[in-house]
Amino acid sequence: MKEVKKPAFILVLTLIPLLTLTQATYPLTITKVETKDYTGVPKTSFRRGEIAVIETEVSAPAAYYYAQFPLDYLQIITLWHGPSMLGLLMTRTKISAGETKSFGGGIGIRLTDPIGTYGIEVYVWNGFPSEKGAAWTPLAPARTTSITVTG
Amino acid sequence: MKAKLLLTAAMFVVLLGLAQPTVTVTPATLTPGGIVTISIGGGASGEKCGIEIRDPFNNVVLAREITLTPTGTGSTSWQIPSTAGFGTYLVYVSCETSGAPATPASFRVTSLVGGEAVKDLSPLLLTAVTLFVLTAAAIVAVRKQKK
Repeated sequence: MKEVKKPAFILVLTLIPLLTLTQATYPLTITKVETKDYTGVPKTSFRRGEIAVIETEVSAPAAYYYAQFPLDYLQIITLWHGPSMLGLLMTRTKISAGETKSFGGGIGIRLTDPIGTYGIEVYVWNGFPSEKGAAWTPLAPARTTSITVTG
Repeated sequence: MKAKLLLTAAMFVVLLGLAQPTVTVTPATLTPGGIVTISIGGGASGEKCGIEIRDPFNNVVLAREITLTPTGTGSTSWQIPSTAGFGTYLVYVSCETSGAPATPASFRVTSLVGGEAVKDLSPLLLTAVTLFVLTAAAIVAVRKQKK
């Protein structure tokens, strides 16, 4: 019995951080992803030649046990049509506990771009994989939305 | 003793689960407009992985987050823009639980036409040889008739 105790203890010690890692919730939340025209009117259907303005909001909880605020983060907004990435917006900033930060920008839809449904993906990371290596992690669940591009 | 072996095996399985993910990029060389696929294997079930591609000038040209399947695999594809620069692109992948490979994967973007244009002269040579043989045969035939 004694010889079993030691490996069992090590197994439990190995499993605890692993379970914590898989169960961990993210410290930030993407609370808004909205598409607008350049005058600020919300819309989801655009014509080629127009600019799709994407506005987002990231919120931090007033108190969170697993992260220390203010928290540095990298926010990425991408525009996709199938496997083509047609736009990329990025920012790096800092957020305090209980704060909400806005970020957005316009992506021009070229006259040569295809018509159809475009996907918008929004990520909040602690940095780029090339910078963070194995310490890379998302800081908020990704959010997606879509727009339609007509002729 | 049996219980000890079982526990050791369980620990081994847990440690295997913490192994670094593997990244495969296909094809290794392509031209602008081509589609490159980045496949991740050996990750943890359902974990998130960040994918970043840097062009030969170190600009970020792709950033994407994917969720691995229950078997710890996943992939994404990217169509190389027609305006993409030529050279080696580096693919950085990092996953929230299983970590990152020690070195980035890579692929090459090359121009549609080879660096040096070489004219294929074989059809011209073949035509010249055929004409020469036919002319020679005709001359021989005419000479034989005269005799």
